[in-house]
Amino acid sequence: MSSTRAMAPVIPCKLSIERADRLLAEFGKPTLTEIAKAASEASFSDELMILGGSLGLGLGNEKSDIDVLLVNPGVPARSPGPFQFFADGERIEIVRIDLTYLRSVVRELSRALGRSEPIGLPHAEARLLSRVAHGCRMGGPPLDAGFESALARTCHLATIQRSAESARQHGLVAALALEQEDELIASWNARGAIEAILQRDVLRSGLPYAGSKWLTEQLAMLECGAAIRPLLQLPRPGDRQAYLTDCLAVIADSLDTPATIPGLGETARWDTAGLGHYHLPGADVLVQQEHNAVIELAADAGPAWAELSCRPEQPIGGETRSVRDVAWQLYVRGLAGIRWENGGRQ
Amino acid sequence: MTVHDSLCVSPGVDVRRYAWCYSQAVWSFGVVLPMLAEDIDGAQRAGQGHLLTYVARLVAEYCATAIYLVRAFPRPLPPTSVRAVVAIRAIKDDSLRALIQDLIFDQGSEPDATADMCRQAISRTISIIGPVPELIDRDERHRAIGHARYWLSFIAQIGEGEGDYLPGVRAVPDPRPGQVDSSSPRQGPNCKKGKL
Repeated sequence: MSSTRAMAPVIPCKLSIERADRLLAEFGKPTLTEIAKAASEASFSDELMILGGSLGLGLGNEKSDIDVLLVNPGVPARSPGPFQFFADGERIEIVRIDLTYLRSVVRELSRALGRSEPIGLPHAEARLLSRVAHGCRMGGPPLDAGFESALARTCHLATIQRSAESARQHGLVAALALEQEDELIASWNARGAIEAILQRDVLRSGLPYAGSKWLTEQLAMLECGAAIRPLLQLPRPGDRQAYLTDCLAVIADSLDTPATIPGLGETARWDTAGLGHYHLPGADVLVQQEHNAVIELAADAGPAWAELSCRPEQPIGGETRSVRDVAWQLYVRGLAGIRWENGGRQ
Repeated sequence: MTVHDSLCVSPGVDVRRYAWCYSQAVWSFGVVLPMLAEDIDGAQRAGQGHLLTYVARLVAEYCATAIYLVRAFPRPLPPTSVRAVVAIRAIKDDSLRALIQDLIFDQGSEPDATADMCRQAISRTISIIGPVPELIDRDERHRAIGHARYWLSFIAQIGEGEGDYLPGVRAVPDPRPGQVDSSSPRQGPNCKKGKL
């Protein structure tokens, strides 16, 4: 069903100054020149100035924030912000990023991508990188062309991989919840997986990463993903079984993995770090010191807990059902987590 | 009137748990509500129905979680993959739970109706958790910074150290003339808590 799966990624172009100015005028915003003038209150002459946020990617509306990114070429002790200015009632938010930091992120991501390793890129980082890589350049000295190219390519490939990893993570929670007969949590996560799959298709088609917020608008620009877009709508109670069946089929097809707990959980582990087991007269309890939290362990759950805590490297899906039941109960209370091979924790 | 009527007690809640849950409700979730309200206005005016649907889902999640925090005092919070569902199920007020559920499921509604439902959910949530910081408003953000100081003082006085009490709130060193420390919930790239 994922028709764009085999497509080679197209690196997005940066938004031109002309197009950005047209967009800003359409939404009644200050011009790029006016924004740059306001931002110069916080910037230094050696800093590249980028129109970030949704507007910098050619998206948004009249209420969209005006975000400016400053790239510090490496001078120490410059505040990262954020700084806020108001010009004609419009809020301008400015954030500073160090070029040395950007270079190290690009290097690390390139290395992981080159080795086909999972990258575990958080959404906030993906969003910022995308805005630096693809946002409209509005002033200041440019970055060197070689780094610009590496930044755009690495950021784009990393966000594509991030979307696939996110789809897998949501898919696993959906499969676990389905086993626990919790169709609502299963549907919520199945929908999250579908969103990530569509995100990946959008990215592969050459649009920049803009997060879930603008996904549907980006899909409309490309006219892609039509077959699975209806799955973005969560089902009402009576329709959940059919919905989940459809979603799991799409997940399996898109990730080339059986949409089962062992299939999706192959690179995932239960994480019970921080939980201590105490024997008390008549009860066993698990204690999480960090949050000062305690939970009683049912009498018949002792062996399952023992297995869960003694085999931290066992892939999810490789344990027995009783172990998984205990793990799930801890997971939904925030007392246990899911650890991924990429170092991410869910 | 009984003592309980007038004191609005939270029976059995340890003060550190109370402080953690309330500060999370206000500074992790409540703080986002004014920004979501802006998004609702923007999407409604621009006729961006899909954006409105996206924001409605976020409003439901943030409102439900904020209410869950100050009603059930869950510490730790469930992970994001299950948090919204757990929080919505825990809402005891039937009409409020129905309103928030509709924001998630009733996605065929007219945009104006969805926008009104979002505003209702935000307003009812604020009436439960109390005033939320409005960091995107030129004047209100000064009041918000003042509120943050009260929270930091309270947290220090009950013996809790640094942690995730006021996520995103941090001291900004020595702003240059004309700049204002925004105490924005977005973390800067060099912030101690994370890379971004």
